[in-house]
Amino acid sequence: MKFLMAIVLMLVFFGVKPMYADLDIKELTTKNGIKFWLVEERSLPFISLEMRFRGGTSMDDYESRGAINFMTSLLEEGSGSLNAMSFSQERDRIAASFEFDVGRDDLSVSAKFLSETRPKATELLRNALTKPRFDMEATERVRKQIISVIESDKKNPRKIAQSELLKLTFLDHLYSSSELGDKKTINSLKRDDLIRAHKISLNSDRVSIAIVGDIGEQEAIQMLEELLRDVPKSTKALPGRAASKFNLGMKVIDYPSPQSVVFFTLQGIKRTDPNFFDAFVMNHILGGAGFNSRLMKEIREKRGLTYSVSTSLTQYDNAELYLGMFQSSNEKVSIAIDILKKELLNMAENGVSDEELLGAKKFLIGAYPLRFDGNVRIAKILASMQFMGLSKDYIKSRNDKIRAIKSSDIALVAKKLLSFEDFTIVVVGKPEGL
Amino acid sequence: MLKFSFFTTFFLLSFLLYSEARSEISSFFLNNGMEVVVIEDHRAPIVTHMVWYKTGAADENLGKSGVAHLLEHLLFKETKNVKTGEFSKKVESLGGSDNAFTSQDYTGYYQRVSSDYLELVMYYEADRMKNLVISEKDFKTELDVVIEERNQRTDSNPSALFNEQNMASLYLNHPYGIPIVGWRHELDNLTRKDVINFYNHYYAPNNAILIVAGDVEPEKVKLLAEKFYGKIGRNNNLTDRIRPSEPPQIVQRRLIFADERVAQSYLVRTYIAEERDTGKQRAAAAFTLLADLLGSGGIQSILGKELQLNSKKAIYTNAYYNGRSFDDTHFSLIVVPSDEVSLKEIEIELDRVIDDLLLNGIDEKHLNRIKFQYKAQQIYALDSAFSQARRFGAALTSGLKVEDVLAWPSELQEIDSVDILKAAKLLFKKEKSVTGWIRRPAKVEN
Repeated sequence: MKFLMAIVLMLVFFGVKPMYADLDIKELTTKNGIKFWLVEERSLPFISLEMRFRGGTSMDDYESRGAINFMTSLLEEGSGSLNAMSFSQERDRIAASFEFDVGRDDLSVSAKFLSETRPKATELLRNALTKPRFDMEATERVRKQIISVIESDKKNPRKIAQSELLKLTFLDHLYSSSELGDKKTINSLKRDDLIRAHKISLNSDRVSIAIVGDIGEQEAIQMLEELLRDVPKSTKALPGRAASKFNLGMKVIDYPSPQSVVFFTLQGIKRTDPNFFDAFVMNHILGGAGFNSRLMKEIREKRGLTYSVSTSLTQYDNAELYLGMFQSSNEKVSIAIDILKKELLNMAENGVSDEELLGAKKFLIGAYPLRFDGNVRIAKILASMQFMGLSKDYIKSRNDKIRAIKSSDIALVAKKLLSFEDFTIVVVGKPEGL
Repeated sequence: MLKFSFFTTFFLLSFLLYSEARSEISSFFLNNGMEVVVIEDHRAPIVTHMVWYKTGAADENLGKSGVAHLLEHLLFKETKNVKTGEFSKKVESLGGSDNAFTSQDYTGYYQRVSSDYLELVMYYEADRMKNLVISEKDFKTELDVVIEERNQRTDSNPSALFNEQNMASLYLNHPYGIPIVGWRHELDNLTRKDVINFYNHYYAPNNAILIVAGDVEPEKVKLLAEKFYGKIGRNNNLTDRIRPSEPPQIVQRRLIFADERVAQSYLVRTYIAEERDTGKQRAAAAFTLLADLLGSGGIQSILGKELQLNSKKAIYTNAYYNGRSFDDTHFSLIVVPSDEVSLKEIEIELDRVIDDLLLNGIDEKHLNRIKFQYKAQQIYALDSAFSQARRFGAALTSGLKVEDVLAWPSELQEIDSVDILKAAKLLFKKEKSVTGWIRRPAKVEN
């Protein structure tokens, strides 16, 4: 293959073009002391704004769980002088997009609007963030939608499996229950509960912000001052570490389907752990994205037992999981689980080969710059980095951390994470032979 | 080489605020008939490379459903020159991503890599257009994977199962009534020979479109495309895509699907609808705006306002239409009734809303907001070269030309409320529709 040689040579001579090294991130501060990152990108006439408020649904009180998600759903249902209908009409009239999403540990706001509409978009978004109305009409309408989703989740085999896994792992901590709450708590929530949920979820001292697009430094500072002027400081403490239990063996839940859903977890690893990157690379080799992980090869490619299998290191603010999932026909799922167990133990005992490690490093190093593509994507990454406490220099040093990993590092972390034959597995379906 | 300059301009409110954004689109053909489209975006040194075949599930022989999609899976196996999985592994070693997709009208393959590696992915993609080897073992294993995919996406999901039956009822004769993944009993009987025949017939440059989007120059793409794809011979046996067509539809159809896995009853009404045709996109543009008026934007939409906000008889409503289709497509209305409202009652309500629309016409302000969002969408869309590439690929494999894709935004703007009402009157004919009720079995307590 002659031409392949030519390409390799070309790279040796010219090197790979710099990609994100020239991403010019400015660290700025508003008058009221709110820090944010800005990337000026003038080629398209729109602005992407990403905000992540620390807290999320784990700020709920157990007896009123679901309140924060409910409140978040109502942020676009009327604010200031506009009811739900007028708000959505005003937003659409300028073709702005505001997404409010709440997770276990954060409430995120993703906004996108044309440069010319900035003043109007800022005003609408400010009202949504600081003056939600929680009108009776909208509240009752959305309450019915949330209950409908809660009921649907109870019939969804993936949701059943996921929910059971979290219940087993976190006992009575909030992480063990649905972020949506349950039918009873949702029905009991009153306007005051929503107002309180709002007050504890959106705080100016707990926000990470990135702006990418057609806007300069001064304009960006002004926009954020305007936007966050009336956002209060936090009053409620963030929750502490979650107690968790691992290695509880297998639990089967009967469900009418030709296929069984399998969710499993082991204890994960903190993002700040000195061995985090070792675990990150190990996960890529074992069950990370793509067709070429060990689990994909063994369970799908060689034997056709599943369509897709994956694992992921999941970090909540107060707990760490090493999660995985796949689906397999009822009559084949027990073989697939045997292979899964074998592969996990094999990794724990033998680690990875140098060749596998090299392949994984190439992918992870090469894929990192490819993430920085598009204003919206870049804004999300930059807000997440701040949320995780990373500095902007991390972008330059991140690949060096991957490069430095040795197969012996992975062997150590694999032994620590995966040496458990009785890791927790939930199977939902009508599995044979389990 | 044809070069389109795609300027989008927009006016905001009544002020003369003016802005403009552009994306360079180039398009040309290779000597063997392969069409090439280049979409330039030089913001980041990244490229998306896609090959689309103008063949999908609707082109399968009768009784062989699932072949197009199974073949898509098998393209990741070996060729005369490349070992199983080598291409994916190569892409992975570059930090790139790759995948493929199959629809009724097309099969597409893509890689997203640093723009330095365009030549490399082109070599592999061109290789598997001609040199695929399908071993009996790979065939069997991959058929099992596809059956698991069907189990996961269709058989475990009552909505997906209903949708399959819905399409089978809507299309009386056209193959759009057959599921892309294949009927289970036909999948079980597929042979390696079926897949090989399909591959040999349809995988040829004169049936393919190359789309390259990102940090690339059209001249360079042309040179590379000639080098790798240009030397592959055409298949002169390929004929025009003429599929069995629909007879006049004269009977309204009703489906009742009961499944104990359904948590929330709902209703779907689906009508046969004209698709976008080259040089003739007005009807589809009107249907597109009609779907937005009826279903987009929650309580602002006609269905949302009437059924969710005013009468409170529904908790969710939507309308769906996609004009990118080779043959006649469909227009769907979805209503999830509130707890105390029956499917029968919500169907009466739905019909009332449609009748009111036909009688009272369209709120011009509402239409203007939707049209303005389409203008803005032309700007937002430029943020993702990958999505632009997909949009062109889906259109060009559905019988449209680059000119049609470029004209589409202004065609949408030219449609007025009279056009939409006229389209609605043609569309909403019950004899051309299927009404589906999806619910739990009666004996099971709700």
